[in-house]
Amino acid sequence: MPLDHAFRLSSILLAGTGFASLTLAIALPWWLLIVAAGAFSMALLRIQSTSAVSGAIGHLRFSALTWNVFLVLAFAGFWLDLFLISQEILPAGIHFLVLLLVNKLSNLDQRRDFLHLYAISLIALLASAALTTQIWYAPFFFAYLVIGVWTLLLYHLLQEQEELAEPQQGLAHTTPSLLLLPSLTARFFWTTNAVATSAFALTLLFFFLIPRVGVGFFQNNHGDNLRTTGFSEHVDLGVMGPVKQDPSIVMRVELPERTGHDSKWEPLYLRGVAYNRYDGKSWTNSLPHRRMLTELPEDTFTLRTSGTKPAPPARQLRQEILLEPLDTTVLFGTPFPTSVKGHFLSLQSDLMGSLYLPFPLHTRTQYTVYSSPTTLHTTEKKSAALLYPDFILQQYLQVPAVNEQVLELARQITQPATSIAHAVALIHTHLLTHYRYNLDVPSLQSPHPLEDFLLTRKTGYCEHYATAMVVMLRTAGIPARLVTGFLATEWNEFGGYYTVRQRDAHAWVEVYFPQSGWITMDPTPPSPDAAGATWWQSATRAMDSLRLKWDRLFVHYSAHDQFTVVQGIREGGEAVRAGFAETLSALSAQAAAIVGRMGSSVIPSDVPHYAITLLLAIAAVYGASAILRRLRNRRTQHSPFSTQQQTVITLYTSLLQCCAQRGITKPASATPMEFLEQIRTRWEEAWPLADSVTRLYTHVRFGEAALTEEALATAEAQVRTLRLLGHSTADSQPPSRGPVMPSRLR
Amino acid sequence: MASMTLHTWFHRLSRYRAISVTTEGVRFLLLTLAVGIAAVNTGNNLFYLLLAMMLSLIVLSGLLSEQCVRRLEFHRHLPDTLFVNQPATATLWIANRKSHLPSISLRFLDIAAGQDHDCGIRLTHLAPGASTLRTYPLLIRRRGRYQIDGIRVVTPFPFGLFHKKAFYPQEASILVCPELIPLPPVQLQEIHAIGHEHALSRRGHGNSLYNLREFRPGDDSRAIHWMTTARTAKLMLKETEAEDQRIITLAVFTVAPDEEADRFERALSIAASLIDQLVNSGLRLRLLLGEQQELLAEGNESPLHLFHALALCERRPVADSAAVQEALSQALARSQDGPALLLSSWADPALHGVFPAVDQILTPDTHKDLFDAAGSCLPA
Repeated sequence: MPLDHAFRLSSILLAGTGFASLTLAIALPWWLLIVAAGAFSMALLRIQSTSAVSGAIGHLRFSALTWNVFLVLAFAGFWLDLFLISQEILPAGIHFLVLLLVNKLSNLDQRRDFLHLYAISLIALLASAALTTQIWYAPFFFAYLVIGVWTLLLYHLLQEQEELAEPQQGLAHTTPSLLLLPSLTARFFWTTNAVATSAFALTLLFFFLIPRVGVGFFQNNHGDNLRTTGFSEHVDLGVMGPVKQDPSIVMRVELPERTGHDSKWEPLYLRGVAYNRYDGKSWTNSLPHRRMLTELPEDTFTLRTSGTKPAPPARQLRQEILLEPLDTTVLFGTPFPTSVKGHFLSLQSDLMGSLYLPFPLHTRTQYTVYSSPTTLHTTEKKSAALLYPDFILQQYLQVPAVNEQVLELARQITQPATSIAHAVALIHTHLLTHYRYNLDVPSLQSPHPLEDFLLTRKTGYCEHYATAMVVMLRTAGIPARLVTGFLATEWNEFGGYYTVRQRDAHAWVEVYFPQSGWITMDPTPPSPDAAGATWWQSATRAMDSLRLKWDRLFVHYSAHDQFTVVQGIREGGEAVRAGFAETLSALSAQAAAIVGRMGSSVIPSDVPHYAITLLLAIAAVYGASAILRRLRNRRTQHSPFSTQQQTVITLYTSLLQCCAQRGITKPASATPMEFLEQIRTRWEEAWPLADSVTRLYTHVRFGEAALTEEALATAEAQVRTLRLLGHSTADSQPPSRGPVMPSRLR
Repeated sequence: MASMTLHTWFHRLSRYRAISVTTEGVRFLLLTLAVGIAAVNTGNNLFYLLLAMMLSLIVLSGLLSEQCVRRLEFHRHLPDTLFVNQPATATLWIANRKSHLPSISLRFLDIAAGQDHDCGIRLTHLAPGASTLRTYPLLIRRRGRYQIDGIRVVTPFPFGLFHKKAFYPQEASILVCPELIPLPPVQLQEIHAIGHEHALSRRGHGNSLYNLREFRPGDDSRAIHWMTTARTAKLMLKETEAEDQRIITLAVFTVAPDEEADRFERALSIAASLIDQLVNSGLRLRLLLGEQQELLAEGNESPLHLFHALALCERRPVADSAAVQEALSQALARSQDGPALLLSSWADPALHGVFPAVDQILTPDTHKDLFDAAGSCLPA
């Protein structure tokens, strides 16, 4: 492809990349899209200046006056758009920018037109950066960078070619197509791509190194919060049904201490709010009193009250949670959180162990939760009666006025129980096995949703199962409460984290045992909709992992991250330095021992060992520097001749050898052409061959002409003929005296 | 002390490497600044990404242009002698000593007296290990020693945003002689006439008629005297009087006030032109330059040493007038073997009385066509 065609194409592609990113970031009016698409098509067709189509397009061009009128109208349209149509500066400005782009694409004649086009495309990319943080921006940015490097390189090279072609006139107004320009080569293609790759690597380096000093006046940290249900102080039974179809991502949870293989199949309960009062239709928290959590150094909040012993670290489960902005103040974590680490002003907890922020967060938040999971104590597994504290009995045995059949059902289920734990297990198993999971349940309209679930429909979802279990446990005298939160089941094997969505909202049961504490029980059977993994789901998970990385590394990269990286590097550097020092000291000790053993046999004993070591070190340094010097000299002392020149020199040397064997020696002072004259007079039959070889030699060596393969083959054949000629004449003539060395080439 | 060291370090750094920003570069920097301000003010990381991209292009420009201008080797071939305003050709051998990377978009400038002079050589591509030989015109407008400090290599590669300049020390020196100008023929005839009485009366190369004789085979047909041939109906040949024994003394009065500096240069130009004309016509010439030792030029040799003396001739202040006059008078008194001309750029009326041995004094007053720009064949 000719250089100017490549230049025009890359310029249009650059503008196209900026425009495409803008169209994805903001919904442009359809007529503007059509106009812009038309302008791009025309500009692309105009690249082929020789084709008939471009000739026809050339006739369709509008005059400069028409374009000026167009610009004035576009500017007037901008004000109209700003005050009447969009009534916002950003959309109005973007519409005006697209019109400017159309104008420039239609008038790409002079150098400054191209520069204006680049500026417009950059502003378009900037505008899309202001409008979005989505991952699709990344490929557009990368494409813009690569095409940008191509365009700038071609712009510069074309300018050079133009200036070389007409240095006197300074071709500011000459169209590139009028000049005889070189074409793109494969070498140029790969070199430019290498430059673009280097630019990309440098871009990443600078991006991570530029200090984040976001202290400006136009920061916008507010976004739309995700609407959640089931985490307020009052929850109606059946309220979770609608959100069970919502695939919006709520949070991502990493378990740093667990490998991906361990946690792949294990569902993770993320506890939100617990409820203790059920009035037959809705759950409420009758213990709303919250206390501020104690803040420890390094942004850590602990739930442990003073005087209690912390759980051993081995039993604690650490979770790194990346929470999307939600409309609730509840903070989630696996049961039961002991401490939370995160950038919060304060943190609160109620009497049922739920965690609360002072106000909903409007940005994505990352925090760490340390939890101590509870297990049923062995002594309590077989206890037929347990002694509960009064507070527990008061708060967690409340039963609403339910149908007698429900109470009878609970009695029937727990009748065979030999212990409290057994009774709990019987109810749990009964609900798991005798009821069907179904989201299509109109609970909110029902006056008795629990009775409908247990006695009539026998289908429902998590809230129904959990409510039924709590009520039945309480009727059996076992303290229990309902907990809402999320059940994380979607493991992302690409990113190594759980993806938690709105549809993972869940309700389960916590049963109280005096020694073991609150034990989590989930009576809900798995959803029948849970299908096996498909390639599409895998692709979605991979995409989500990429999106998360994009968000973490680019969109939400902050000064805190930079500080963490610097701290990590410093700690790593210290570790490496310590390791290196240890290795060095061990090696030096070994070397000293070896030197000592060798020295004792060769060197007199009165010479100290450190002197020998010093001498050896100096010798090693000297040796290394000598090797380096030699390598450097080898690099710098390469032949001043090109490969082709060296080839013709070898050929000419062969010619000289042939002549020398014939007794014609080239004096050092004779030029090749003078020597050719000598051959003509003294060896006439060899002259045509020598003439051809000599001319090729002078052209390639001194004239720097290109050596073609045909010319080389011919010359080699001529030298061979010359050699044969020399041998044949040598047979008939007395040989020359002694070996004759070729004279020095001039 | 520290500031001096820092200053020296910066001076050295700026001597060997310099960067200037092109028009496109200025616009690019302004855009970068704008994006930077937007990034800081909004805290938008995608703005920071764009800023990083623009910074990377700037840094890449520096790195790639550095690769273009480093490890080059030069050999310059200059003519031995130059005359003011006389174009000459210089040759520059350029080699790329890098083993893998080419040098692209190079422009070369001669550095003389701290000034850059564009050689007009442009190389779009010089392959690794390759070399090339380029010639460029050299036109110097000042007499004296022309000192070239080195070569400056300039490249706008890769993006045309900056001009990276590298300095390669490559010292060279040429003597620039005064400008040779065509003298009015009338003046030349006058000068020839002055020396006529000093010519020896024998046949040889010259302008004056010595004898007319019959043409013989082997004679130069161009010397046939056609008028006599027509009159006598025989081929007659004109023989000229030999002039090779004549010696003309050209004395240059090197004193001139500061305001007459241009006129002094003009006088030296006239002197050089006279030397060129007279020596080329076979005359022997003696040059007296103020207090300097006299210089001789034979008709059959190049008067380069006289031109070199003129190239290095310094103007003396008026205060030295007496000393210069005395030295010239003594030198002129010693050289009584031919006509003597005195060339002075300064119209001092006392000169006629001081130099009685001089046959003709050329001053601005006596020869306005030589010394004045208006109405003269001399370039202004």
